[in-house]
Amino acid sequence: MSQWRAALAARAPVPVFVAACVGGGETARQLIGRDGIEVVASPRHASLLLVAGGITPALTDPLTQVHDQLPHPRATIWSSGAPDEALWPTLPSTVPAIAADPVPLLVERYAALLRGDIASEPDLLPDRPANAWDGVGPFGQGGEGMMGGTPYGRPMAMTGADRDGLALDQLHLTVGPFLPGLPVGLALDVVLQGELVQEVSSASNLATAAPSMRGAGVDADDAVFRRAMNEPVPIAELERARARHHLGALAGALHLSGLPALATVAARLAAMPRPPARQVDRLARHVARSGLTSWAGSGLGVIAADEAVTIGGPTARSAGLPNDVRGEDNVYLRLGFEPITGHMSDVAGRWRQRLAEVAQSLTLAERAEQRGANAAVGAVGAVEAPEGTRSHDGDPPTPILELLPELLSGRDWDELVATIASLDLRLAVAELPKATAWT
Amino acid sequence: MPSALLAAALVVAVVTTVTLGAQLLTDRRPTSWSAAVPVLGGFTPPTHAWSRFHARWYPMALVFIAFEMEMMFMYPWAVVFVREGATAVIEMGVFLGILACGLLYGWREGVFRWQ
Repeated sequence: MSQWRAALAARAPVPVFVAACVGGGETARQLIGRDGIEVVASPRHASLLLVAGGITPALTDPLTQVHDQLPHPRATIWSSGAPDEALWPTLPSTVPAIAADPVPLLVERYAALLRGDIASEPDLLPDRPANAWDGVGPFGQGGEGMMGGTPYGRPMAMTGADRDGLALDQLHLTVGPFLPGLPVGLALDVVLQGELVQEVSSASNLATAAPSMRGAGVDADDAVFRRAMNEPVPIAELERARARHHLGALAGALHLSGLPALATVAARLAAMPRPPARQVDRLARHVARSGLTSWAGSGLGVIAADEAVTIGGPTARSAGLPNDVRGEDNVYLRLGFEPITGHMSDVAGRWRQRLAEVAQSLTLAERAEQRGANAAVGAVGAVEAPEGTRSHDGDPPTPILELLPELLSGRDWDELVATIASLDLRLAVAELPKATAWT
Repeated sequence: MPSALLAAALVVAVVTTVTLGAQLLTDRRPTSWSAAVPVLGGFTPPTHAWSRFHARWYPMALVFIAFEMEMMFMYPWAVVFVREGATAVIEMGVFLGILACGLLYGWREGVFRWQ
């Protein structure tokens, strides 16, 4: 009876929660729309925890917490290779081999888990409340005082000013690195009242150390841009990688916005080595109709031009600044390249900019292939990566981290997530030292 | 009377069977303390989230009055409008239009926003 039940349950899409670690920022988007997989937004909905990329000491504790939040039966899959035992002492004795495509492994492990061939993983953290409370205090409720100490292990929230002269409860939380929609390693300290984020007191990057893992961990599209800093790379390859990157980011944003069908279309286009321009145009029209590039995103997450100039990339160009390293390259100019600029850098403007750049990249790639078989890009030392300019002489730390608190404070939670999704935050890439052996 | 009792007993029996049967199909284990932490993406919240919310008494009272007065007038109207004909329908339409203007005003003023 239970074998029949397990076999029936195993035919459902596998609910996977993707914990994006260093080098694994693209994995969640690549799994959107894959047959047999359902990328879920919360560890509570998942049966499998897919750790994409390599963990660092700062990411280990949050990861163990997320692991314990998965309901039983659960299993962990390390997509980029098992970590060092120093960081993850309870590593199972057999870790499946890394494969380029994690989907068959996920499906197989899910079925094995439901059948009972693999035991559900036990808790990593001790089974006790944060503070002792049971029996403490005059009535055993958790302590003394107006709030009763720490009932059920935590104190009650303190109040803060709300509107209409009221003082209502404020929650001071650290929204951690493993939430869908946040880039790899980003942790935000927020003050919440309901779903209104009253203040983002700080934004920190937990992915600053080099990851410790035994497998490969950089996504292939980013490798093209890293190579282009050192050697000439064919323009067609570079521009198609750029288009795929933006389409993947769009798939993630659409998935977050609750548009799974469009997200699947975008994810499938991003997975193609040569996305057809006509299908990309059709996707752009559907996205426009969904409102992401018009009413839903206008006036949201506005970055002024003087701040955008330090960020660079499509964010700066959508604010009206024609900053593009490609505009100084004769090869690009011969292909008819002109930087696309917008009027205002809000969420809608940034998505319009990125979609226009996708179309432009595909056109450039086609022209480059038609002209001289693989017209090459000169190694000028600086390359226009999808998130901005990368150059050899001193990568400045991304200034977006300092802008985030001001940009996101006073917003609803959904607006905050939409704003972050529209910015291409690649903290882990920018902060890593250049001579990184794991590339 | 007996058929009503029979029907009620049948409903109770079906509900009980389904509920208890569902228990047999679950593999539920008791939730541990580390699993019961609210999902924040890796960190634990320092406080509880048993928060009070602003009930917004005044906007709620205004919206309530708007719909309530509409309902109060529609109850007697519903009994007689078929007899009275198109005139009654048009008069009620005008009344509802005026109330809709008030509702539109409230909507634009943010009365229906949760925050």
